[in-house]
Amino acid sequence: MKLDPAILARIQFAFTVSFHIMFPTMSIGLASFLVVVEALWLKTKNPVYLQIYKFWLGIFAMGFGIGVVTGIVLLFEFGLGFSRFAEIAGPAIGPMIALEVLTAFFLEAGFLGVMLFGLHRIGAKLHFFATCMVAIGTLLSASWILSANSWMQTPAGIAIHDGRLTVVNWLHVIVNPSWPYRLPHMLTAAYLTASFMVAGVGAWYLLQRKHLDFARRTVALGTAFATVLIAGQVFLGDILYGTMLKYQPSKMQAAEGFWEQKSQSPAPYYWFIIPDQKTQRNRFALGVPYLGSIWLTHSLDGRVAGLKNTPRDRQPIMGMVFYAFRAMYGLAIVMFAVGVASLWLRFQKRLFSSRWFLWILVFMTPSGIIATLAGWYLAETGRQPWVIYGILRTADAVSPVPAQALLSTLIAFVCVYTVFLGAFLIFTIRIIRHGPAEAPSYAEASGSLKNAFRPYVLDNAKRAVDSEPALRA
Amino acid sequence: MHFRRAWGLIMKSMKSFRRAAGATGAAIVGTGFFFTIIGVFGLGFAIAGLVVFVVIAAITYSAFTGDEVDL
Repeated sequence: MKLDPAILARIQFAFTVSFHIMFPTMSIGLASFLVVVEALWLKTKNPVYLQIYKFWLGIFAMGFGIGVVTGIVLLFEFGLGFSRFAEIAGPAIGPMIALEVLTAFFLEAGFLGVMLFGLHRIGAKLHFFATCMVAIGTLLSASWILSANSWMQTPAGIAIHDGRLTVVNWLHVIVNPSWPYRLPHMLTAAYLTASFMVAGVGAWYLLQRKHLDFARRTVALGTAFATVLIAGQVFLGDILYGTMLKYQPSKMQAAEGFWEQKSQSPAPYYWFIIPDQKTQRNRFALGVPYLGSIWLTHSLDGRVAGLKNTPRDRQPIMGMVFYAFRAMYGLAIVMFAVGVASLWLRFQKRLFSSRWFLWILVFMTPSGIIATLAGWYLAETGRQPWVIYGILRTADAVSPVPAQALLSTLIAFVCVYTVFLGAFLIFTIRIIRHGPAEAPSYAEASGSLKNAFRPYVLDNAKRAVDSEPALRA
Repeated sequence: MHFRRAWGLIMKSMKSFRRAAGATGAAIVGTGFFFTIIGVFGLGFAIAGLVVFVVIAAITYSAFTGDEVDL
């Protein structure tokens, strides 16, 4: 079997970036959540808010650490797997990534230690300032990365002379046409991710009848934020849809599952299709009548543009784009329904006692991460076959490296990242199982790698020490 | 005795019916808000719908407290 280096380079980047994006999404959302919780603690002096802060601080720190490490890998991959892209796009992308390091990383690195270990060493207000700085750092980081990625989606502010890209207007490069809409969309996704995580863990404790005060507060905070945020996200998503329809019509044509230049009238809204890219038609399609016209054209009989409007050699693969969009949008609808249900139950004073709703919250815990991943798949697969839309094709951006080198590094990444994910999940589950009262603000050292993967070992050792006065002394 | 049990059953059914009716009403109102916020009726209505929804959420979460945990 002959391996294609271009395909392997793309699979490797897709895998590493998919793994990476889960952690910044979590840490951006949790950082701002921690700001809110610490502000509530400072204002009310209610110790339960401090308990919530300490509990989520540990999970935030682990997510932050893995996010930073896996993010650095991506920068190396630009040069190693996509050297032609790095060469051409370097003048525009390079300074933005450097600015991310200089502004966001320095800010985060400067205050993260104070945030993690300074709670009882400095004043509460100064500690709150450190938490705010870390949260602002995560926002700045997201801004620069979204600016770089949005420039790849809607390039602006550049000129090309003799195959070389030159920046002619930095403001247009940074504030490119899609950035003002994609940044709030991504930030809201991060906040939604944190909200559903927080609500899900709180709901789990309520179902287990444990840590009830902590659980009630976290469920109330999580569902309240999620309800407001999902409404904003739906609004922002619609605005972004209109922007991408203008700048990247092929993406939205593929996302809706229509092939013909104009769909039938009224257009259905497809939820399931079996597309055939070769014959440019759907082998099977299942949708809700009228809904396509209503949602996409805001009329009862509007027609939707199909993918045949884009030349074949410039079309993305419809199946990938369509299902990524449906996964993201479907989850947004479910989140909105959960938000409305939480309002109704709060009004009925049954928010904390409706077991069916608490179970839904538990199952919705990872929903934000899944929706964010789906959104990124939509953004990236919909931009194909371009890496810089309309300027550089992905196939032309790949490095001239042997397929064997890419395959071996891909296998290594899968192995190392599996360990990362396993460690993160083990320690997170361990923190959740311990509960808020006992939750450490960091993952305790276990003494050996073997013990690190045995969540009970330290607990038993700690219990043994606690129960033995001589050892404790 | 029979009358009491029958009355209890009726009251329980009434409560279930009220809850079901309320949930249906909430679902209809929620669907209306969703369609409005995604811009089916235009950008102006979408902004107004979003603001009203956020205000309703803020009032509901700040005013209706006192829920007891009774699983």
